Amino acid sequence: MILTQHRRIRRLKVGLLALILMCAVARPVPAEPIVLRTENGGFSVRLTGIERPERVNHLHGLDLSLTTADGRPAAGASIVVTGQHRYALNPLPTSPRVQPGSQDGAYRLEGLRFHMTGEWHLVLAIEFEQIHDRLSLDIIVK
Amino acid sequence: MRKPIFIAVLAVHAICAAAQVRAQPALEWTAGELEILRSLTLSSLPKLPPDRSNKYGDDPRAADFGYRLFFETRLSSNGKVACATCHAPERGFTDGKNVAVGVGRTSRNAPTIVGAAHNIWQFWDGRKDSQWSQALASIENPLEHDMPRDRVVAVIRANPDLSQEYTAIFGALPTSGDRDGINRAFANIGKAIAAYERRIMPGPAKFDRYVEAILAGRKPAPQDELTLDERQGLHVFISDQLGRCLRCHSGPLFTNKHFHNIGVAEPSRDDLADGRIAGVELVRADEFNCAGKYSDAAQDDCAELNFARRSSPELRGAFKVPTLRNLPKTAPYMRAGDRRLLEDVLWHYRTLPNARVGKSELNDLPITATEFEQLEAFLRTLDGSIDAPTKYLRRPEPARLN
Repeated sequence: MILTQHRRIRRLKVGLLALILMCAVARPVPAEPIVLRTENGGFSVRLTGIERPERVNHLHGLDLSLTTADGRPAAGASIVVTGQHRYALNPLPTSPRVQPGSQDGAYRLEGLRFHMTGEWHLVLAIEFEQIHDRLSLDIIVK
Repeated sequence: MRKPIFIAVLAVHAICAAAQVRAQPALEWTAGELEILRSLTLSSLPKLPPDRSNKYGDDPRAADFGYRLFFETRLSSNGKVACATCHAPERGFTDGKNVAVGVGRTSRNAPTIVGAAHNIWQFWDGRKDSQWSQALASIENPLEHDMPRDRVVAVIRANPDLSQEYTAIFGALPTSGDRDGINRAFANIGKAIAAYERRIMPGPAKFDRYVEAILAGRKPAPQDELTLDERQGLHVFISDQLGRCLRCHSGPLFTNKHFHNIGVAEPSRDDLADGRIAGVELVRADEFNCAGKYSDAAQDDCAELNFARRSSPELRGAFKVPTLRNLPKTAPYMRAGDRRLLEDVLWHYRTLPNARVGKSELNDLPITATEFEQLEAFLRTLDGSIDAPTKYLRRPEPARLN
């Protein structure tokens, strides 16, 4: 009887472990917010919502928080998003747009879709107070 | 004397058998490959989301009415053309013709409607953003049903069976002078047809059963086991170093649902030859689009329309990637229907013709003639059943149409 219970518990543990592993493999992991500097150091960008890997053909959005090099929130910036598949060279199939969010320096990027699996190169061209800078991101899509 | 010969024969046989085993690719797929294979099976097809632009889309009464309308030839100017003329259930909801022939001859191959409810865009150039608005365009097209909307509504009004069914679902029919009412009734007719079409989905194919077996860690049933050529073809298909097919033919429906220029020649220059670059403007201007007054969607529901890419050079001559499911049932192929056989389609990818409109995206593939044949063998494993209520796959009894 005790042996049977031990077996059941062991099977349950193995089953749970398998379930956890399966979930880990099958589901994209929503990444923690990432903070990146633009190419010339003009801005710091906090990005929330990028999954690793990104899901193919899924229309979604990202939250951005933009600050200047001296730490001020960059409210009223112009942000243009472009992207290209690294090997196929196709551009994004949508025209994503960035709108101001509820707080100073906060923005919402909407309409982002990667329609092909593989590596994508995403570029955010930022303009604020006559500072022009770019943020480049490499994104894996599965 | 006989014994050594017998042993020699046995030895040769054993060597040949061993060589055959060595020639087989490993039965084990890598974890990454298994993940890709899983993504391609029908079990990965998400539940069909509601069409927010069509509040009748999941109404069984609308689907039954739409089923009837789908086969209704009186919704055509010559009384001979129905949706089912070009989308015949027995041909995988295609017509077996190069280009669709309704009242006149069109310039496009009729694509299947199986699984088309999962598409973001309808028609080869995506000039419609719902199945219901697509149906309306075909009904009014002079080369297809050639039936103006007011005459469509008049047919419904004149036939007691049809009008009773219509009013039970949508309410009273408009009077003949009520232009807006006629538009709304016409939209409702499209919505009923779409409610029927939404129920036509692909069923499992040999490929799905094979992948499900290996994912479950069991040996596929003999009839579901892929042959050596089919497995090699599948390997080429999913490899980004070889076939690169997944770039466009991804997901359980084997399409990324978007637009690419692969240099398919137009049979004749027509006003639709520009492909998506024209289609996107047409869908934005369409009175029956997601954001229009005859749609049931809120503005927030029309993200695909709102974020659609426009005026970009790669959209010129670009057309929608078709599903690869049920290919043996849906010949001939490509949007002009000028590829009679699957091997003709694959020949296109070997010869890489230049595009007449825009620029072809295709590049030389590092795969051999044998691998192209194996690709074809694999593509045939995607032939499956159609998943729909049985009655929806049969033509309605003639008595019901009158």
